Amino acid sequence: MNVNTRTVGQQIIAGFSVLLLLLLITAGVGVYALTRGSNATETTLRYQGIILKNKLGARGALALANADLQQYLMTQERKFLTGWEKWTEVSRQMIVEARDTTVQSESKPLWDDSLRLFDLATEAAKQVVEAESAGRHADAVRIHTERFQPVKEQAHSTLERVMDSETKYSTNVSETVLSEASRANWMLQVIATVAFVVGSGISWGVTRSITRPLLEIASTLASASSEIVAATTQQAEGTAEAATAVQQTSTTADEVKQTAQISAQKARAVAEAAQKSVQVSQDGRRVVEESVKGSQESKTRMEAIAERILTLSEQAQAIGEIIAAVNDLAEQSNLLAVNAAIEAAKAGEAGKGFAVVAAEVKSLAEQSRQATARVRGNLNEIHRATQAAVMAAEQGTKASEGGETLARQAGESIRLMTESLTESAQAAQQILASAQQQVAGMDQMTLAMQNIKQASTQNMAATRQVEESAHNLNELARRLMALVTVSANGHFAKTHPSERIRKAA
Amino acid sequence: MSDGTRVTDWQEAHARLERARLAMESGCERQPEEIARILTDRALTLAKPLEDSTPSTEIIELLVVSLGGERFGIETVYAIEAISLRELIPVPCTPAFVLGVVNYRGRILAVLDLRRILGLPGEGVTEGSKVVSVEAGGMTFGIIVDTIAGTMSVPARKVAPPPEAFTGIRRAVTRGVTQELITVLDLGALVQTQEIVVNEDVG
Repeated sequence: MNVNTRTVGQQIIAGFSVLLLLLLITAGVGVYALTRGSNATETTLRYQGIILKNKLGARGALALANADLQQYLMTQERKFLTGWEKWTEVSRQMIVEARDTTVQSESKPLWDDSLRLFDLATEAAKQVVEAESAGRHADAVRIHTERFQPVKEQAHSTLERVMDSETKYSTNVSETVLSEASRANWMLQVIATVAFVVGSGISWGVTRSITRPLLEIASTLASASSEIVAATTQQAEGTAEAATAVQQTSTTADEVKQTAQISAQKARAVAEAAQKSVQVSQDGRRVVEESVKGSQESKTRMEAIAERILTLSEQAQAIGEIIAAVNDLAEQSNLLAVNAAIEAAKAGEAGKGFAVVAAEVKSLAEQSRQATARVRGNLNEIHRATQAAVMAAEQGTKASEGGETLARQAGESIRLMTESLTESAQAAQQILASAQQQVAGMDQMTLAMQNIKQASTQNMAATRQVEESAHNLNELARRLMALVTVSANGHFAKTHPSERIRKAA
Repeated sequence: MSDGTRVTDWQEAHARLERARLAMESGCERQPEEIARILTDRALTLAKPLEDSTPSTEIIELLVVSLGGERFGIETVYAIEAISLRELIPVPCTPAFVLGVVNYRGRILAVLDLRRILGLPGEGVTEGSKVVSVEAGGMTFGIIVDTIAGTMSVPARKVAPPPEAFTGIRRAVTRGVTQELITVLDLGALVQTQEIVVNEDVG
């Protein structure tokens, strides 16, 4: 940017220098031509004036002198003589002045001739005057006619000739001056055209070289300022969100602090409860040990019961054998009774009494058989009951074993639980400590949040200022663009700067 | 000894044990009222036949047995003795109604199965099966029976002739049917029938 600016400055300086130079040249040429023309014109004019004045003066004075002389001749009044002398002197002065003034080489001898002829005429005139004065009017007329008139005519003609020459010369000079003036005019026009073209080119280039970067700069500035505005807007929003977040975080921190305080209370309660639980679990362990002992004893008793029941079962079996024998006896008795009845029947009337006895014996045998059947049924029931009792005792033993195992497991569980509870108590203590630390930390955090809040507010204000500045910058860019657009004079119509600014904005 | 669902009433158990002990101690001696009851029942049982007995009519003495779900009466004049069935030895080359032979007081006694002869259900012997040795037509043989009920006296007029439903050998060996639906067998006719003659040649 600096380099560019410097380059632009240099360009401007260079362009202006060239323009100035061109202006100077043009002006110099103009001044030169003008000076020259004017000098020539002045010289010519003055020359012509002098010549004309002297010529006319001389002619007039001569005419007056001639007239005075003629009048003197006619009247002989002295006043005409004075006039004649005065006009003669004037004429001579005129001719001398013209001769001295003339710059034309060929006129000079003519002027000299004129003066010589004039002097001769004057000489002749003086002779005329002397003659007249002497009263010799005839001589005077004669001298006037013979001598003065031809010289005077000669002088007149010479004067006319020199006049023509001078007039011709002055005409030539005027023509020369005019041609020079026209040449100077032409040159001036050419130089002015060249200067205009070159100046236009330079000014176009310079303007272009200035306006283009300026446009770019303005455009960049506009877009940058727009971006800054957008960024600051976002930042403002972000800051606002941050402020909200900080607010929420502060609230959360308060809540967390309260929660941490509650946690501390809970942890304290847990620690106390864990302590109590440890005592309770130790009691539980003692109870479990007693339970294990009880289970072992129960198992022993169950085994003893099973043993007894087995003994009973064996005894019942012995009873069964006895009963079988009794049943056999009853069967034998029954058969005996039947046979006795048969014999009694064969004996006829004599066997009647015997038949009664036989029937009685048969009835007894039948009762015995029924009794043994009942006993056998009872024994079967006893057997089943014994089996059930033994199985129950076995189950009881197993249950006792199971109970013992369970009690041992319960003891182990209680032991583990005690350890866990102890650990829990320690953990609760740690939780208590950490919760207290947390409360302190939350206090610090709240303080920090307040600081952040303040900083955020300040930040927001600063962002507002930045946003405003960016807006100003954008406006500046817009104005610069407008300025450049005006100065560029529609050179960049393809991308109208205002549009570019609008786009950028 | 409690499994959770049932709580043993130990006092009740002790009471039951005490009652059992008392019953055991007094088991050999019957109570006086029980003795009286037994005697009364027996007297009633024995009193019934005496009422029905009429001296003027002919009396048939029967040995009542059960076989194949039916009751049969064997006249005591034919019956020799009732014995337990022990060591029945099957005899080859004999009809199906001959179960085998047994040793009866040193003699060989053939045992017949009336179920085969009369077409009654069931076969073989059981633990309670008994043998009634009889003598008819000069032949001594055994008849297998399921149980022996005992002897009874029946008036001849109360024995009805065989019903029409009895045909063939059944009718031939039946003397009659009592009011108690006891088939009275005619063993004399039985030994006369051709069916039980064992005359088989074995090559």
